[in-house]
Amino acid sequence: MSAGGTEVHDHFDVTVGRNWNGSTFHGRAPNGIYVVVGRLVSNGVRPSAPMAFVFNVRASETAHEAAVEFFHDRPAVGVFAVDTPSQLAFGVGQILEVTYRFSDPVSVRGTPRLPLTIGGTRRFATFSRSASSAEELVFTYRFRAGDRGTVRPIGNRLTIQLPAGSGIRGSAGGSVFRAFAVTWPQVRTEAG
Amino acid sequence: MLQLEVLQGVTFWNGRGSTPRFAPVRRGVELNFNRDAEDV
Repeated sequence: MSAGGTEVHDHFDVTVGRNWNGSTFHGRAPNGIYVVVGRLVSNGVRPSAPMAFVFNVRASETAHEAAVEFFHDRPAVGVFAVDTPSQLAFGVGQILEVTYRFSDPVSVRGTPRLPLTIGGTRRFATFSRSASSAEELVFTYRFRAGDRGTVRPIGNRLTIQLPAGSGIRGSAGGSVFRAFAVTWPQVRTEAG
Repeated sequence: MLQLEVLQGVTFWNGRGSTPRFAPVRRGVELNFNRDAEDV
């Protein structure tokens, strides 16, 4: 396979079963098709696009082929990079911008948002349709009077939230994975 | 070292019917990934 232009080779052995005790399974998995969606990551290499790993446990070859085609036609979409702010100090009216770069085009409904804390107070950077493109979603927050302190994401993974009426789908209908672990810079504001 | 980052846990379809219908697995079913006999 190729990840970010770098060709890599690896293999995994997979066992499917029931009641894993840490060293072995104690039951057989029901017959059918099993799928895990994941991506390959390695230090210094851009993460791969999400991949569906399809496993056939005593199901028909027809079902297996239908499942492979199902995920091929609706590829999952993941984030491969997040651009965090390069500016480290903000004043009233200034705008913080975060850009999500997706592995494939996505379509957006409503107003997704990005939860942040500013001096311990919950705030949201909101989706900017005008600044975004199919593969890059831009979220902005305009600092207002009273914002004071350190600006950081909630937790160590930046995850796009979907308020009621909002959604993000792959252009072919595939799932979109919206979380990404980032190294967040030491951003502060002394607005107002 | 290449790592597998799971984005969505195991889903299952019983293989019946013409259209795949996947749902999260139940009843203790798991997939165990190994590389060279080591858990991934």
